[in-house]
Amino acid sequence: MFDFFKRLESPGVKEQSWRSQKLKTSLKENLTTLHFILADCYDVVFREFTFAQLPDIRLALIYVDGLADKIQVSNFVMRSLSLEVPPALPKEYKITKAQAFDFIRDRGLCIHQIGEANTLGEVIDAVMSGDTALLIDGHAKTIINGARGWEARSIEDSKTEAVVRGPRESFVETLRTNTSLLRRRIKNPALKIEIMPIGKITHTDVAITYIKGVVYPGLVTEVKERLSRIEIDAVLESGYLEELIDDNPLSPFCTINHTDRADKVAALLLEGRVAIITDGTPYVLTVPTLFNEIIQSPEDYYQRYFFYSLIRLIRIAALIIFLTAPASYVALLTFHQEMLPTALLLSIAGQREAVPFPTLVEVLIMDLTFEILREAGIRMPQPVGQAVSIVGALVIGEASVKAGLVAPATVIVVALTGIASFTLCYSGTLPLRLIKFPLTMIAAFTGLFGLICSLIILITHLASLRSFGIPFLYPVMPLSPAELKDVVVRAPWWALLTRPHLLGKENLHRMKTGLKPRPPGERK
Amino acid sequence: MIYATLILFIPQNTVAHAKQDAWLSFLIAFAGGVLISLVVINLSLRFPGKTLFEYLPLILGRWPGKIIGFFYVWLFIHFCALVDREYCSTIVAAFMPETPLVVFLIHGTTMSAYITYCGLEVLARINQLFLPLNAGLLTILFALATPEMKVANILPVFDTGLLPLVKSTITPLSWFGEIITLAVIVPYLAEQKNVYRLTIKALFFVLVLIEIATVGVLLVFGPTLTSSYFFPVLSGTKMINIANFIERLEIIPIVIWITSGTVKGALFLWAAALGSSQLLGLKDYRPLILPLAVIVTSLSYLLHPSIIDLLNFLTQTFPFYALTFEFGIPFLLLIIVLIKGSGKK
Repeated sequence: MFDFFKRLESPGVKEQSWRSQKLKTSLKENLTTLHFILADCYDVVFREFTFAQLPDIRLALIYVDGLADKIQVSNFVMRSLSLEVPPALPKEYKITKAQAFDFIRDRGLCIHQIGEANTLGEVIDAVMSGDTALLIDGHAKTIINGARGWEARSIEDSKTEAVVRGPRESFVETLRTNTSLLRRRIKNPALKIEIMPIGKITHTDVAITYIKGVVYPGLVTEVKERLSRIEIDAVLESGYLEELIDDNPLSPFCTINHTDRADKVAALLLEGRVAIITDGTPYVLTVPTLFNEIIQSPEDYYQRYFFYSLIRLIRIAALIIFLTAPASYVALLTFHQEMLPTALLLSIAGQREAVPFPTLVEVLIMDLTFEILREAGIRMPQPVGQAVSIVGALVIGEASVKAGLVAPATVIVVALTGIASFTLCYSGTLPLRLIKFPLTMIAAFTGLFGLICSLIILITHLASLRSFGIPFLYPVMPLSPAELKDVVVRAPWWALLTRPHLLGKENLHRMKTGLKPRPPGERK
Repeated sequence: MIYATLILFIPQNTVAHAKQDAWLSFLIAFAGGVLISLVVINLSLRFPGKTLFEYLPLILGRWPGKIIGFFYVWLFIHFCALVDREYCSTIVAAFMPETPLVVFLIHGTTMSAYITYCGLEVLARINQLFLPLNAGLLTILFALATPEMKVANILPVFDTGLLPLVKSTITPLSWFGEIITLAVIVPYLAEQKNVYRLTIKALFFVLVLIEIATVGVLLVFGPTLTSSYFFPVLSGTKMINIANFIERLEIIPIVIWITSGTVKGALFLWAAALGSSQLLGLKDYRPLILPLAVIVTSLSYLLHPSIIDLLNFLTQTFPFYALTFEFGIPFLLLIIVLIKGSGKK
């Protein structure tokens, strides 16, 4: 019982009283303590050796096998210290035991990144994150070598947001690689990357990324404040943070978007947003999130604007179809048959003649089947993929119609709904997929009137949401007509003069005016 | 970011006395509406940051002010009940005669109550979506009805004479007078300086929408038929049939009615809830929404036995009753303020 309450107070690991303990001068004592702390850590390597310059001095390296770059450690730390230092120096040059630390730090190591530590906690943290600690006998501090190197997935195509034209690079699980992807796109010191470790056990690095001068300063403060509130044992994915810093914890709608596309994050940063990169996951959180991101794709900005304006309109249509098609179908067939043109009504009535279920049941069964197929498609082992698609497409689609269990029109409606959802940003469609079911049921009981009522309630709910102070439905509500140039259509680049007003009010103008290409004679 | 466009047009249930000159009577009513809004805004600006319910006791003294304030709470409750009843009755009468009216009333009030619960800001934002949507739908609707229109239907102009014209103005004037709600809203507006301009703009926008509906219906049916229909706009929609494909568009007026009715109901409910909380000295108006919503629902169900009774009330009794509160009392208040010299100049 008491144990339970204590855990509520501090979610970390208990036996960490040594964290603030200072290192001793004696190497032996230090090693004993470290051995004790790192007992049963099979992957930690202790390597003792003698300093070439002064055989009295014993040195010890501590690193985690697999996290430290073994080639660097053995070549540029061990080799230089145990073999190569004497030839590089004049013969008469002698150092004492007291000078050893400074000498090794300044002249002995060929490692690009070096730090010092003098508490056990710092040493252990460094070793656990992949650095190599060098203990020197007679000195109560260590040198931390930043020779990290571990097996990581290489940079690949984005798996969730595909584009035809545009950069192929997407984030990976390593934080440093991810920040490098951003830095390569924004080569400017204004791109700030601040690190904050979160997770009492996991010590996960979380990077708060923004462009100074573009972002509204209050936003960065707010993000930091919300993140520093978190006291949790582990952060294994950015989803943990997402739910802990969300403005609307009780809403099905997530007001924090995530993406694994580096170019998208760069573009969002340039609009005045803040990105939260979590070590260990390719999914980067971007705040504030607006609802219109559901119909935006990075490719819109790379392809010719005429066609992609049409695509935007198609996506809006898809959004409406996705949300309301099954519900309106059920409402029309259950209550408002008179609203359908007679020929269409006759055709549907003909199809439904042999169907044993009411429309609602039919639609729900098909919708459920589709959701199951979709889930199976994600979850199944890849080799059985074909089987599922054959069963899904042929058996359930074709056979259920042939068997007279569902009307072809229902299959069309449900399939259309499913396909429509794929045109939208995947994460944004999840709450809508959930809401679709109650909407269909309400439509079956109260018809179009109930459907309209529930849509009004839905819109009210959306209008009441905020993401880090920005209204979720901006720029539609509150209406900012000039902003619709990047929502309803995608205006050409020479017309996208300003950042979204609420987000980028610090630095509103993206470019010079009058950049529309003109023949040489008419240029100003 | 709150605009003064919070007033919404009411569907035209009656194009009554003025026959083909009905559109003229709206022009006159618009002028009256502007006058009322000027009085109300002037009054509000004299007491910056205070709503009607807060400055009433300042002008009239503690108890008389509170009593008049409760009359206004009643007025807003009644308005809300009437709005709900109007569009719900329409749906029942025109579409679902077998469904009990109370079902629609409960739906409608629930929506309004939810919007009210989310606050004035959400209410304004929703209106920002619905108003252009409704304006667009209405315009499309009457654009589609153009094949049925005959200009002869609104000729001759000025044939009815002045007295019937003025008589016909009173009902629309009482609708425009619902801008009295501004007395509660003004303190919450972001741009205090532009209130006059914004309000007149909003009223003008309402006028344009009403004129589109009125003139459209008159052009399609002519005055005699129009006044004989309960829901001329709906009947006008039924006439639309383009290429045997675009037809049965009744859903459009229904959407317009439900959306605008809900927002309007929510606005009055908000005003009533806020008013009663301020009069009773409560910090938050939210706990009052549920009881008020229940009152509104039952009130709108019980007030009128039938839609004919409702229409009679709206055209014959309502204008005088409403205008007392919309124009009479604010005007008297302004005079008192001017004489006593209280408030900010």
